[in-house]
Amino acid sequence: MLKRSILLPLLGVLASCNPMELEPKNTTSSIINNNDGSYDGMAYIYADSPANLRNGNARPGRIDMGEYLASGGPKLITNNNQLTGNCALKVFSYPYALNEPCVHVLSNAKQTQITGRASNKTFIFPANTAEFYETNTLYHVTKGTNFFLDNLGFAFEHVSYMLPPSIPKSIPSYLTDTKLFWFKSVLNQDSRIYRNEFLTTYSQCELDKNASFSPAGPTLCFGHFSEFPGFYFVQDPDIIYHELGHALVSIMMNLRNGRNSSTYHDLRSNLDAFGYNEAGSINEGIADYFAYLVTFDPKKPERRIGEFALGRTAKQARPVSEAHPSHISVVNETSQGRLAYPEFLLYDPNYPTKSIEDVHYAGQIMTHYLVALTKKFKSVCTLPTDPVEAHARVSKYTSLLLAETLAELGDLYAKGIDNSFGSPVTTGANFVNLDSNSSYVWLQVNNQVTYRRFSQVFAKKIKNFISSSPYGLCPQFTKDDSEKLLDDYGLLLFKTYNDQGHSTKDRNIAFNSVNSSVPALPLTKVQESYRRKSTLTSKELISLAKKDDQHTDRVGFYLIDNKPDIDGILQELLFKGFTVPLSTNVAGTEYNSEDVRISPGEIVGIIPNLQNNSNISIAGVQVLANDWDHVDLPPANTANGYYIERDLTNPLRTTYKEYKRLIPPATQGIAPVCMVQVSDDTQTRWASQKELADQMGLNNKDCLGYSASNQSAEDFTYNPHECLVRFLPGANTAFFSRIDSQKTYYESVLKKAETEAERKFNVGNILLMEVNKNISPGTRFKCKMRVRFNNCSDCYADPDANDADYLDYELNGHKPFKVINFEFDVNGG
Amino acid sequence: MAKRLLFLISLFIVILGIVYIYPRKNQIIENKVENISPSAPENSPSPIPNKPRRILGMKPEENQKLSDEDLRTDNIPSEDWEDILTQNLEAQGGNSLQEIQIKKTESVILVRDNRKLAAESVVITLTRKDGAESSFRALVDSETGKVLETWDRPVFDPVHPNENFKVKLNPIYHGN
Repeated sequence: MLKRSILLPLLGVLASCNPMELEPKNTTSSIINNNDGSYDGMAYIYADSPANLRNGNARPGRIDMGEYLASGGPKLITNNNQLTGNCALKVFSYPYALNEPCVHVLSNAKQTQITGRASNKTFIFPANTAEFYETNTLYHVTKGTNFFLDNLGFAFEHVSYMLPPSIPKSIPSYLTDTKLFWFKSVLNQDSRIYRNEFLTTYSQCELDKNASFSPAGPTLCFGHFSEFPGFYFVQDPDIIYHELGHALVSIMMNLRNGRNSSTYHDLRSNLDAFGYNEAGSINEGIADYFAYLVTFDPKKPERRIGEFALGRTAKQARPVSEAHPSHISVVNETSQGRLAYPEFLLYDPNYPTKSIEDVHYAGQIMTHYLVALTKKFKSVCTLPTDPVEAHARVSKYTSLLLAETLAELGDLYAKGIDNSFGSPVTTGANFVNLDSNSSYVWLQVNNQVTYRRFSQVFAKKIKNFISSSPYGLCPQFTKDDSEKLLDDYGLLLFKTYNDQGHSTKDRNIAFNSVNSSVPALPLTKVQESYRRKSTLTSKELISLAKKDDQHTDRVGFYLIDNKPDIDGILQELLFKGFTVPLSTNVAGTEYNSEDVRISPGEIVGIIPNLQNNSNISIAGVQVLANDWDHVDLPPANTANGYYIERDLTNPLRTTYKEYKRLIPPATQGIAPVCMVQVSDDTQTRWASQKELADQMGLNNKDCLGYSASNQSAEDFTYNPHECLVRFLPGANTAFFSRIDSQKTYYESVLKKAETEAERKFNVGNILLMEVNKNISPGTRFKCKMRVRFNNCSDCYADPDANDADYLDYELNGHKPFKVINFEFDVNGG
Repeated sequence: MAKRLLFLISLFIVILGIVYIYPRKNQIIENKVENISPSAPENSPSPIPNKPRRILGMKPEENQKLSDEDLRTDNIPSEDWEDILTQNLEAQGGNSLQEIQIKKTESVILVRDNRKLAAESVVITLTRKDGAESSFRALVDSETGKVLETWDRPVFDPVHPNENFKVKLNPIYHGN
């Protein structure tokens, strides 16, 4: 602070004394003559990273960024007096502006005052200083933001004003009222003090080897790399655009989560992950694609993301198209050579012999698909001849598709469309994410955004907004072209477009129940002859691994009960924002005996080792260990809330349509996955844990999940049906990238690691289970997990509905899943 | 010579004043800012005392029309919720955390599973011992301090994605 306080006035004095104007190469000080005000608010900037500007010769470390400043004089940073940027959504040239600056740039969280203009009214600061990096960061964030808002403005104009009301659309026409084209407070005015409507960007934050986006700020944070003193991530604009891309994904996911200037949904959507999953992968892929769009240069069309910050520091730069020479030779821009799902899910072009399960590498499939789509549009659509203008035009098309897709997927009000007047639908049926009360859980757990779900909605948007005639933006790119390209990438994972607009709970109700302008819509089917790479297989061919003569080391589950690993998983989950409510005093890692048995009081990690018995690879495998509708309440026991195992083959039983947990005194609901074996005079049966807990005389406070601070407090969220064992909320779903044909997950992914030390499970692979310390050894449990995967022929298509997708409420039941039973004895090995 | 010495002494005092007093003044201002909030907009309204809790999903004006019975919750809000929440976060975070910050944004009512629960909407910020920070939002039971939901979770982009926390396959791990 002291340095800055004294240095800035001194530099201002020096600047006014020296009339010399320096060209960028030598501009390592703030000296500039701005007597006529022509440089007000301007600064010299680096337009690209040193690696791209110096043909790859630059090395990270003590680098002088003053040598990389753009020629052509200073550029406008902002018209504001501080390093802040403004935002507006322009609709037919009319700017819908925010009241306050939408971007603030600070060096780090300790800085409390935003840097103002230098004394000569410019933002020209000595190169390599904190103020210099703040200035350059604002330049790039503003450039990216304006690019995004220009494209979103185009999308808004097009869907709101250029299309007939008969076409269902998700970008709301009241977006200019809600102002959700940028971050918006979602609670009432009283809480604004903690809920900024501007994106705070830290150009040199404390993170080592990392950059991040935090929607809770919202904040962008660009760290450093301790092994390369003087290196900062903001020296590579690709990284700025990539992180900004995450922020923009967050915005697009929430475009529909406000109804007017004062009504917003209380929660917000995002595509996030605590380990590996496909929602996180798609987010990474779109963020790389956004960086590609902003930095596109027709003279250098093939470049990698993070050539300097990732490539020069750690050999981790990522290509965005198959044409880049860093790919292995079999990857190319032909149909056969595309970076297809699921073959390339674990592919890092920098280390092509390794298999790495990570969202960034898996996200490359999304980036490559979007870039290929961009190139296809450029080759077939009617566009300006100037390549820069053509790129700008096509960017608007793909941005429209992304905004429409993410707006629909992220709709927490669960409507997906508006009424025929373009106003929000506030009553009646729901069309996405089950219903407004359960939409967040649906989006995050039960019906996560996967490559299949994203591709299906994205394909529908292409059909409606690009290919359709006469309203499509590029009818030359046909539905057939779209399906062929999706299949090139292995993403034609669906049989139909699921585009009839059915309600989430009743197939007899459709869009026209809330929007009379939308006619009854036909079900669009995929042309099956285009399905060459996107092969599907039955869920019946997945099972828990079993030993056989050829595979004597196969196991059905991996069990982790050593304290350091479980503590580490819990800590990792917490840091990623997944709080896990532990049952202190009833279970905890202090009880972990580390004998690879499930013992009383332990918290154990369970990894189902799934086996693919089909002849193709399966991918996007999700295991759910959360509550579902799998039990029957015998009438005689209803008052006690006991239940018994349901016969899932009984065709007369329909699935419960609400997502409400079976907590007494409720008589219907979804139940915890684990049942206990009880015996009476006549039989042994699987029953509610409450039944055994009552027999054992356990009080609520002796049960798992009961949280009460004192004698009088009561926990109304506690479920007595999981008193004895339970999967921990926040760690009750696991995701697996790929399982190869006739192999287990372990054999498909971990075993391929070159060394024993590299054979590690991702946190996202692991389910956490608590075991009550009061259980008697020998007590037997059965947990009914549900499994489905993306290229599944019978997990999504409802044979009773002409292969349209199962309605959302069916995800409360068993039909879309293979049920996997995990049976164990306490203290059993 | 004496004049020159006097000038130099005066100049020294002025410089000393700039070096010592100016930063202190700034420091005082900074401390005040920190005490309020690092990012508080100047026009932030002051909280309304004794405001009834809003049912989540409902607009404040709709909420005003509800009766006391409509706003009655199954649980009883306790002043201890924040302490218990902190303890819960410490239990999960173990020795990895250096600091936990909890900022309440609103007291609300969550309707779920046929229950009406008084809850606190908060922003949780965690600082690890290595200095890394993470921030997310949560709904917390106002009686038990139990986290009911989290959202707005951070996205991290490490240089070495493969160096994320993972669990090494121990040869003794096996299935049941």
